[in-house]
Amino acid sequence: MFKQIFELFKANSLYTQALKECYEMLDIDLLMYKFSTESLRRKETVEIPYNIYETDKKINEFERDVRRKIMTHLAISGTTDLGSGLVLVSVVIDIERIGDYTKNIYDMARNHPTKLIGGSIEEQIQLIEKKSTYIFENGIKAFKTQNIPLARELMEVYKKEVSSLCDEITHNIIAGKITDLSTDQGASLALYSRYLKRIAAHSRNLISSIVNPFERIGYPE
Amino acid sequence: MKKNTINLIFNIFLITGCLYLFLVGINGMSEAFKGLGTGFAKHILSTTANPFLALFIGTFATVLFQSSSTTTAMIVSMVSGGALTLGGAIPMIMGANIGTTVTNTLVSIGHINRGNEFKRAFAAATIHDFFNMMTTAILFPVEYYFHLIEKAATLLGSILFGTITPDHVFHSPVKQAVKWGSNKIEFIAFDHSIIFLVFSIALTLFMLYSIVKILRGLVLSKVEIFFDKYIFKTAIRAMIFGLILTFMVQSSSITTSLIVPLAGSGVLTLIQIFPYTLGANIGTTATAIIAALTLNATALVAAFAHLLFNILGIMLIYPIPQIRKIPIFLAERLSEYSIKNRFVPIYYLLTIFIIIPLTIILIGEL
Repeated sequence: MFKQIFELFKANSLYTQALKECYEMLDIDLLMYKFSTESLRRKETVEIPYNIYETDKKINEFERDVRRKIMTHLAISGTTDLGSGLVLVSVVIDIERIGDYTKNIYDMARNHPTKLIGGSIEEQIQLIEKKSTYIFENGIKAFKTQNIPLARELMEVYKKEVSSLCDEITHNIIAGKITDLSTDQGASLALYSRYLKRIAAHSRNLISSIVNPFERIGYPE
Repeated sequence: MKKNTINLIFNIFLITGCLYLFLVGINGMSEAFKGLGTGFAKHILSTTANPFLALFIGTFATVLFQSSSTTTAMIVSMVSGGALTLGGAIPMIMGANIGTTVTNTLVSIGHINRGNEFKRAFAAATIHDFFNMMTTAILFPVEYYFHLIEKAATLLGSILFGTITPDHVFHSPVKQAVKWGSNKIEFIAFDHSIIFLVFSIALTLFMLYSIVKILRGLVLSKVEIFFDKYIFKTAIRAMIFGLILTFMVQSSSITTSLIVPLAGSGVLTLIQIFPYTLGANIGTTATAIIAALTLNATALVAAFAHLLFNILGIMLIYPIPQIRKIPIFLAERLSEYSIKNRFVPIYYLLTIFIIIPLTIILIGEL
């Protein structure tokens, strides 16, 4: 008991603890993302050396923990960290949602055990994957270092190169403009494209918290 | 030297200064009561000779000051000055314990438009009210007929200091310094007892307010991590934490009000909060003990009575699960009624803390 109380004395403020938990959540999200996209797109089997479902539960626990810590911090220590506390409570939802979408990608991989191939839109799919991964990975860096120029660049990449392309792919599949895809392939690619867009969009929301005032988190600068 | 270290040193000096002036105020009150003569003392003594009346005077005075530390510090100075007997002081202290719960109940009213959040916050606040009322309901008749707390506090005082008389004054360099300060206040008040009393009361109130404010800023940001999971996992830890934190900030009103938003948001449950508030009840008795240490043995016995009353209350109610559930049940039930009818908390506050005490005081004065 005394050891635990001593540990508490050495501990950071609840705000700092909550911030560190957000960083940890992002690192876990990134791992989940890499394993689930690899399983769907680059492996012929569904097995991956990572338990996506257990990790997703851990992410959900982190989300509740962050909220509780920020609430306690603001109630006890006053309003000094009110702005940054509210930002964390807001972005932790985006971080949790990214975890959910990576889980959705893995769900799809389980139902589509062979490698998902993009047919005539393979190049576009690869481009979205590349750009989404770029936004997500660098978004984590920008958030951790509070790098405003990098955050601005990533928001531009999302707006100009990811959002519209994802929509175009989904709309073209629904409209039947892409004829070389089987039903399961078409449905999977439409969903995959949508999930990647959502992951990039939540990453954009995360980094918009560095650039924008509180009320404009998740919106363009 | 780091800015934080300089700030800390500055705050420690500030607190020491405020504490000294607070003790000067307490000592000044005691001296002023003596100076007011036997007529004034007789009036106060005859009013507080009725323990029932004294109980509600204690409640109402604490509602006005929103601080039981202030009321009990004033009570010990009155005991020291001979304006109040130990027998009259104990019911007033019991009343102060009830009155001090008004602050966190008022804080919980701030959540009134938010359904379940208000229900949780109001229950967290009123559990303190119900516990203190229940303790008084049990111990007031016992004290009335058997003077249990008075005898126990006197015994404790005798063990520590031998005979307990108002003439048994503590001697220390601090006492000398406090006496010097008190003489200066008397001089500024033109040696007029009423002006001296007013100055002393104002100084005591202002200094206690300042001490609490400085300590709050100094302590709370450092202890927020204790409000997280670990401490509130067991009742004994929560109780000790409530005690230490209240001792550190010298105000149970602050420590019990702090947890109201946490209860409202569901971060802490009613079961977790309950022992914490009981610890706060004990921690708040420190102010009067510190104040009495610069007065005399009788004043210290009065301060001990406050401590013993709160310890006895916990011993009688908390260990037996069936009895422990009563304040929890009452707080939950009242909060349920309160979300059905938003006037219930307002009626409750007005009735318990204003109408009943004031009516009884006015009837007693007739």
